[in-house]
Amino acid sequence: MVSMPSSSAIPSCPPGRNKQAPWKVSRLFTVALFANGRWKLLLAGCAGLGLHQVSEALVPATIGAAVDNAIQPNNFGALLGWLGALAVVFVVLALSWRLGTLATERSFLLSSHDLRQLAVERTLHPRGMAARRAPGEIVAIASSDADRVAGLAWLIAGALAATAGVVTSAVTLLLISVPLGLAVLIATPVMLLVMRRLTKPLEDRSDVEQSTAARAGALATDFITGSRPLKGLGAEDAAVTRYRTASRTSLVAGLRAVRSRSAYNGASTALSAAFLAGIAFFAAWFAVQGSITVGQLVAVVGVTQFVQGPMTALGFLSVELARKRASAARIAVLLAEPDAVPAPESEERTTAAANPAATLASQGEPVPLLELRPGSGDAAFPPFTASAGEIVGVVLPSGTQARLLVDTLGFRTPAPRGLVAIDGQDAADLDPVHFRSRIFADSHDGVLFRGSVRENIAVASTELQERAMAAAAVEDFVPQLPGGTETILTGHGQSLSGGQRQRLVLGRSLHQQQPVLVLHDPTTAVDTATEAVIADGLRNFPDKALVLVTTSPTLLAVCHRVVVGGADGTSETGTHRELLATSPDYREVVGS
Amino acid sequence: MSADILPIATPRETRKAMWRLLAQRPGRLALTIIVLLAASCCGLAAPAILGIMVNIAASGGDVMSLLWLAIGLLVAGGLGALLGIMGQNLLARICEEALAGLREEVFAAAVRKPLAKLEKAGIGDVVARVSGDVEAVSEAISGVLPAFTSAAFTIAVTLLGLGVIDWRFAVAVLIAAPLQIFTLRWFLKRTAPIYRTVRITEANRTEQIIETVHGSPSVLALGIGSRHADLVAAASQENIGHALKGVNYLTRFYNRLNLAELIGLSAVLVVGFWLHAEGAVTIGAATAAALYFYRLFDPIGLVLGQFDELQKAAAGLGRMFGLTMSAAPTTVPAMAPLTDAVPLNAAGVVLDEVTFAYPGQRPALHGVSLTVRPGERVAIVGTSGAGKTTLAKVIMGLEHPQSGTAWVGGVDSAAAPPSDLHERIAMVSQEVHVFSGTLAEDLLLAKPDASPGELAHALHAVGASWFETLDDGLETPVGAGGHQLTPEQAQQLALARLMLKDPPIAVLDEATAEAGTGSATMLDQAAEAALAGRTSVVIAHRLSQAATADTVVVMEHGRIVESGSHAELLVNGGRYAHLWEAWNSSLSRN
Repeated sequence: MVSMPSSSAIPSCPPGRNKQAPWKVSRLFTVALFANGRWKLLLAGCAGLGLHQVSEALVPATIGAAVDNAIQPNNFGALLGWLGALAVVFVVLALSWRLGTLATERSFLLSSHDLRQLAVERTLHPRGMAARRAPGEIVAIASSDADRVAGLAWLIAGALAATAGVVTSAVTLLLISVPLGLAVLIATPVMLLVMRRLTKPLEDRSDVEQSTAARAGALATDFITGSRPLKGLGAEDAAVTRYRTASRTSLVAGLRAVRSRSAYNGASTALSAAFLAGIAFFAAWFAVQGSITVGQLVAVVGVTQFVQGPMTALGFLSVELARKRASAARIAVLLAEPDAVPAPESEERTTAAANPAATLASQGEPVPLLELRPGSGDAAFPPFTASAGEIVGVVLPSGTQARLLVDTLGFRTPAPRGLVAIDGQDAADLDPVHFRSRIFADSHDGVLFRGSVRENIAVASTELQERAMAAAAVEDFVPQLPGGTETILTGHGQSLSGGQRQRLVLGRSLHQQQPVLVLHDPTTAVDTATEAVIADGLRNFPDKALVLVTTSPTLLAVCHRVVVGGADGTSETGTHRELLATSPDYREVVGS
Repeated sequence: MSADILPIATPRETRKAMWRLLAQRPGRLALTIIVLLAASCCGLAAPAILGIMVNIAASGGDVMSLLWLAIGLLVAGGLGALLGIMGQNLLARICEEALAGLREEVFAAAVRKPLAKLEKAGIGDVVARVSGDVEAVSEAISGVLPAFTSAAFTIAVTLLGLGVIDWRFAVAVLIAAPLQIFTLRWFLKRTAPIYRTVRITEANRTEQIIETVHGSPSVLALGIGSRHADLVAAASQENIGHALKGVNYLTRFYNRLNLAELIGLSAVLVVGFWLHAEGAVTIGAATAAALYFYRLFDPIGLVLGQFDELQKAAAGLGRMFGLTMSAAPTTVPAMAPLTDAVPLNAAGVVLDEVTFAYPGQRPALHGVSLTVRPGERVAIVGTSGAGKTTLAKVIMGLEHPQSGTAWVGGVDSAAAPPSDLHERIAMVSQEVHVFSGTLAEDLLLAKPDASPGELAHALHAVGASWFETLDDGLETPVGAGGHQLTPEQAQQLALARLMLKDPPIAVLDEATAEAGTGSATMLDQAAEAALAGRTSVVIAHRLSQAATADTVVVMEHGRIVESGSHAELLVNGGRYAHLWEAWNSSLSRN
């Protein structure tokens, strides 16, 4: 952006943020867990999964009781009784898990949906984003990151359930034997601490693994997407070599990650074996001494085995949480991205800004629909006005400047105060909706969307207009499409040629209802003969002001007025023919 | 989407291909299996030792024997852990190496596939296979396979252990097996279509997000932001609906497995009761059997539950193999020039009665004959749809004529091996693509062994001196995720690549057409520099490009209607003269 030293301008616009609290990780977590009544689902999920873990923990106790009361004393009636008890435990276990899973998964999916919509809606905010993101990045944020943050519901419910499992196990053990129960209660946090230490390198390595794999995947995507230029260059072998390098890097990182993962698994297996050995030794010794029964020994051993599952889950909690925080941070950065066109601070209007409009009105002249009044030190835009029935050509010395002008007129880049007046009002004071209701300026690479040709062209009205279709010269190919104007376009109209796409985009612009239409090089992919047809058709819009930002002589020839901005900030105005006759610079720019 | 154009390997072909990959080193594979089995056996020691402890507890014993048993537990656990680490590492090595080899093969096959085939199959499908499917398969292989294998080994070894205690225990455990198998089949059958729909709706959602975000300037200009947000929401909700259906089946699946667990456990307890009552086994053995089965809950759930993950990976593998299968290179040796009537110089292009039609369409080229002498520059002009781009594609060997031959530097472009063709000719097309990586990496694609000096020289030659003002010069990341180049800069980059490639023949397919405001002259100069000293075919967009060519060829409806020098054609007063007049009248001063 060009900075403006002029005194009347807004001081370098601070990223104006909305009134709402800023997006932070904690706020996203709250949204993910509780918004839109999801707290009920979370509650149901925690209750279900918790009850499931409690019943799971009761299974070994029930086995022990069966050994104690039925098998050892050879009591068949008791056996039936304990099998019945086992069945009850299993029914509770199964149904509570089902309830918990369904509730948590629903909460997860809905929360992912909400986060995704937040991200998508941010990219579609009328004020735009200061730094535009590649679609792939938004997709990653709106899918993987949204999923990961939404998975917080699973994390919380799972952690609570694991805790419930550990507590139930501890209570069971305490009821059987206080020293054994205490041993488990003490050993649990110790094991968690050790595992946590072990997970740290694992976390780092799996991050490296993921990023190298992602890099190889991105490289493959990039080469295949660009396969046309790649093949034109005959650089397939170079691409294969480069992909192989990335793939080997990913392999090395992947193997390292596996090594640390299996080391972790091994360590945790060894640790639980040690735990089991200790508990089994003491429990058996207590049983020999008669302070616990044989069945209780079985229960103790079973519970000790069981409790390692929930413990491991708790051990991974911090890794998972760190991942979710990182994802939430990425979403937050996107949501907090400053606007491309910041909202003006409300009391910022200066008299300098209000005056020119007042002057114009007082002179009693009709107010032009659009007026450009470049100030001192401004980008080298030439001053011009456009009123209904006029076709104004704007010739700029560089592509960058042309894009800047069209972006400014399309509300994609802020209009410095005093530069643009719409209906005599300073554009800097207008909100995007009002601004865009008066002037339409798509970017040069405007894209087509999925849908029929008609839906793509007649966006606002749904009815096709004859003069716009004619002026866009689409009638020589649209009737030949399989379904005519009802042909469904996919993938940005990939099945069409570049020239056909460009003409549809032009047709779409010409269907717009705004009084000012800005067209940026609308015929670069169109052949000369067709371009002449288009130029001719543009004369049929007496109710509109057309602004053509172009250097095409064919288009400039139909303009009522052409304004030329020089690289040095000077400007010239005249008809195409006048300028050709008088200005050598102009002749050079338009290519003669 | 035309996913059916590229083949998908059948499960049988996939299995065969997979086996071929895994069995590349049979010794290592055997070692891996042995180590994993040994690790599972160590796991088996725990319940057995616990059973002995129960016996001691029931019938009395001394503390020392208990201590030794506890040490035994510890040792078995430690040994199992060590063997487990070894086994997992060995397995990962075999699988990941095979996978890396496979993905490289798949990528090479994809990138070498003829362009026409790639585009017909849909670039999206190929991209999905080289990135999405590769990722899915990697995830399954590194995430699911190790756990799956050790669980499967544990189940097998445990069944064996139960049989050793008493064969009737093994029978009791197997009572539940029919229910488990039935449940798995039921689940896979019901959920396969659901999961497929989930994936399709998810892809649809992604596509919608990409379309919306990619087109966001147009979306905002048109004021249809909320409509697009609704489109994404609708796509997402459709996906959620199917995902919930899948979860519903998943919960029913695991509930049925719970039932199988209950049946199996009850059966083991009943058998234990009966055998203990008969005195056939001790209380310790009965307990060990119950504990054996109890510790099978997790492995069984894992094996059955991850089955579909592996099946999904197999589907991905099928799609990957499909890409390599169709890659069968049909390289016919380069043919020597046939007639001496045509001057087949190493740097000339001769089209001999070339006719070409896209499938199901009218011919785009009708018996086109054209000779480009070495060092000559030919400009092709005509309206869009006249067949200019098709002509360029045929010359490049990207499309193969139905009849006639395109001789490029003495070889038939339709039959010559790609390497022969690449030595002779390169094309810069209208699509600008900046390859992601550093600026230097992008350029090195054209000439992998070029020095930084050469790169800089090529950039300067096409007027791209702006690279010196970039933060890291040649090392600045460009393309997706890097520094964004303007369309003009990207086109200069493409011309610089052409210079580095330095082929004797070059085709420019409207390579400077996208140059709008203010850049036409600059890009024309860049093209001039890039074409200097080469035989060239320029698909001209602006007639100013045609005027500087040695020969101008006018095409209409797939035929050459005029050719000659600019001056000759003007004198003839034909089609070209009309075009020139129209173009010039917009430039004339009166």
